[in-house]
Amino acid sequence: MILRRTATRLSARSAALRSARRCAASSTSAVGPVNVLLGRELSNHFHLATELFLIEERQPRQPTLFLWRNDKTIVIGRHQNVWRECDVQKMDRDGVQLSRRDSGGGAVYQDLGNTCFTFLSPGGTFDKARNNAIILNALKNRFGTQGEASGRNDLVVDGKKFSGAAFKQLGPVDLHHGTLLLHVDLDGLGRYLTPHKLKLQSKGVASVAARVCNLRDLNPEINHQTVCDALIAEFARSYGADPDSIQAEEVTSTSPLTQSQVFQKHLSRLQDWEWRFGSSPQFSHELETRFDWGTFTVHLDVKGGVVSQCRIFSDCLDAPLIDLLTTSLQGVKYDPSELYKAALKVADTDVRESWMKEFGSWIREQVAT
Amino acid sequence: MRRAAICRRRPRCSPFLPSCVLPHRQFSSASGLHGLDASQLKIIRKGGEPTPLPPLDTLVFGRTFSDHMLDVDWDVNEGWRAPVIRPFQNLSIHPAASSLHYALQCFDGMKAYKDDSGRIRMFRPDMNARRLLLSSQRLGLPSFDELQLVECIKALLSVDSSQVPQKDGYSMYIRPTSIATQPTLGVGPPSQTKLFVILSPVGPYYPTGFKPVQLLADTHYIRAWPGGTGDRKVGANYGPTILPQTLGAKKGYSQMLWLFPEGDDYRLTEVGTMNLFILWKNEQGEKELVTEPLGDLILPGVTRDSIIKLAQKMHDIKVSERPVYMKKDFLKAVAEKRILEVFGAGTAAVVSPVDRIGFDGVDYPIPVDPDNPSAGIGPLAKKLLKELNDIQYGRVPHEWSWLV
Repeated sequence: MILRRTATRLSARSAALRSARRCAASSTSAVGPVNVLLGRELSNHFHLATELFLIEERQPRQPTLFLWRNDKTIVIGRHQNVWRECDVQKMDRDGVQLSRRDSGGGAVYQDLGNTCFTFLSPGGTFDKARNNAIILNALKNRFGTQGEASGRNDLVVDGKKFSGAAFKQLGPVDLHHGTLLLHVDLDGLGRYLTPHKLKLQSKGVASVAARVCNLRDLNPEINHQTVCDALIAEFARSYGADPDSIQAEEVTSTSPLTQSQVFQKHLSRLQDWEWRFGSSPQFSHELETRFDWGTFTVHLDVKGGVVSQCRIFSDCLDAPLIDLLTTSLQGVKYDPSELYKAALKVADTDVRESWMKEFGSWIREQVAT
Repeated sequence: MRRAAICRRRPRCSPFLPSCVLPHRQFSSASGLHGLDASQLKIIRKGGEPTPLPPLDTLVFGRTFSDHMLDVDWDVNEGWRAPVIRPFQNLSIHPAASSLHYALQCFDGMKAYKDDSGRIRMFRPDMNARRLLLSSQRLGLPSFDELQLVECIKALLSVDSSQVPQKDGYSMYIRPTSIATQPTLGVGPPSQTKLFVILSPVGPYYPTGFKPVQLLADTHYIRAWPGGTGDRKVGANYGPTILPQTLGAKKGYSQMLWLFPEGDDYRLTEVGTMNLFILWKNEQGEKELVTEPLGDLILPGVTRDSIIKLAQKMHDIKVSERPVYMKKDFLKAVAEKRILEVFGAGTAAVVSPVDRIGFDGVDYPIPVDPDNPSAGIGPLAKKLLKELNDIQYGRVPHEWSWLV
């Protein structure tokens, strides 16, 4: 298999191992305590499909680090309405791609100045503090930046966020993935999102931009290659491996893993226009609101006093909840207390119960004449 | 769909924003009618596996079609209906539809390519959408937002993505068409129309390598004239060219070189269904690439525009858009051996080199590559072709290549 792209320009120490890495590129399980993969394509769909392949098919038994980045892309959440959230025409004109995640939440802008990381560990061994320490120590040791974890998902330096992450325990594999802002165009998100008035009522996109920072502003040596280098070295050291012994697997469009049915299924699903864009419903009723835990646009088609169709758009992080809620509201009598009950029906955890009480009260009030 | 009654009946606003009238569909501000709206796209899939492509080397231009098509109706009262992507099928048209009687039809042609990573790229789709809009306006067919059409075409390419060939020289030809469908015989602006897009996987125009063409510069048949529709891509421009083309073929010429008479001389305008480029040493001794300027006589080709822009970046040639006259310019250059290359430019072939032109009963040989007598294509045409292909197949990043 001929690799079309050159290997990462790593530090001089590891340069000698580049040819060994090329030979090992097609190996599916590294010899040693850790696996490292470097995504070489610049397509967000390609990397998400690779991630899903690793989770569903390869299910590595060693701790694994996958590093990647993509060209200008808006990544929207599972349940967002592209046509309302994004200025699709401006994205077309500027060559900005659209990608839709499987997970919930809101829109983010990524470009080549944004490095994505994915930690995969065998099920039950996930250690968030350890992974965060790998990132923070790599940045400190190599670039002198003093970062720290903040809240549940963020990494900050001087109170400004440079990384967000999400975690999922998926049975055989635990997933921890996130972004690192190195030199991202911070105006990108504002430029390609529409001024959705509910958002403007709350934090708003502009104020979010004020609380983030690019790491390269702290140290000009920071870029995708140097950061990958530092992360790989720290990752190896954390698991007692010699950084020089790491053989990173380069993932390109000609890699063997692209022959996997799982990979191909996810790639074509993620690339599909209908998945990414889809259509915006034209139902008889539309209700909009914002809670602390998510904005909501509820489209209902009411026929004969019954909700014949329901479609919900939201940036709530609990994407499966939105699916359950949608199904629950379908076929329900268009009546305040019936709708309230239908919302409560899907509350199977404390958090969901408190949310659905809030949602149910709101929709009950909207519908009451 | 109109707003729910609930909205108006609500006595007060909730602390959060109440349900309100959000503009669902794009409305054409002038008329209050629905605009062409990709967000309303409805996709009805064929079901089952995509039809496998025939062996690529058996593809004949425009004979094979993909599994799905785009179909959007318009009427004068509602505006544009929701676009639909559905399995490829025949259309059902009222026999009195004026597209069948008065040539109320326009179309366009562009290509999509699959790059080395398997991603589909369109080449300058905004230019084609704009051109279809201008053609529509010329015929009284309805206007539309060009980028909404591009978005719909992206969706269609996505649905049939597995049928886009992935091989150098191969692509998916995209044919958008707009026709009048209203069921009345009167000659007048249409009250009902349909815009549809079909896709056809195609191979290289010259499958066995470049073969230069021979042109007949006929002085009788005229393709386009001032005040006509020569600058718009309407079906009415193409049908009448078939007879002259057939007569020329009988005499051994592959294409027509369309002339426009002026005084006792003729302007060289287009070749077949392509724009015409001449590379010569002009009378000032400069190496010049020249083509007719845009106007009523010339179809504004996207390949034409791309070639002009690429050539302008080349330092060793001057690029001019000005008329070239047969007797006083072209034949004089032929006699003085100043002609370097002559080629047609269009979506189908990209570039089509010429090695002979017949005018007024005389055949004039045209050099293809002065340094290589057996070449099928000249150096400039070859260079432009490579640059265009590199952009089209995503080998060189360029804003002209749009990812689906």
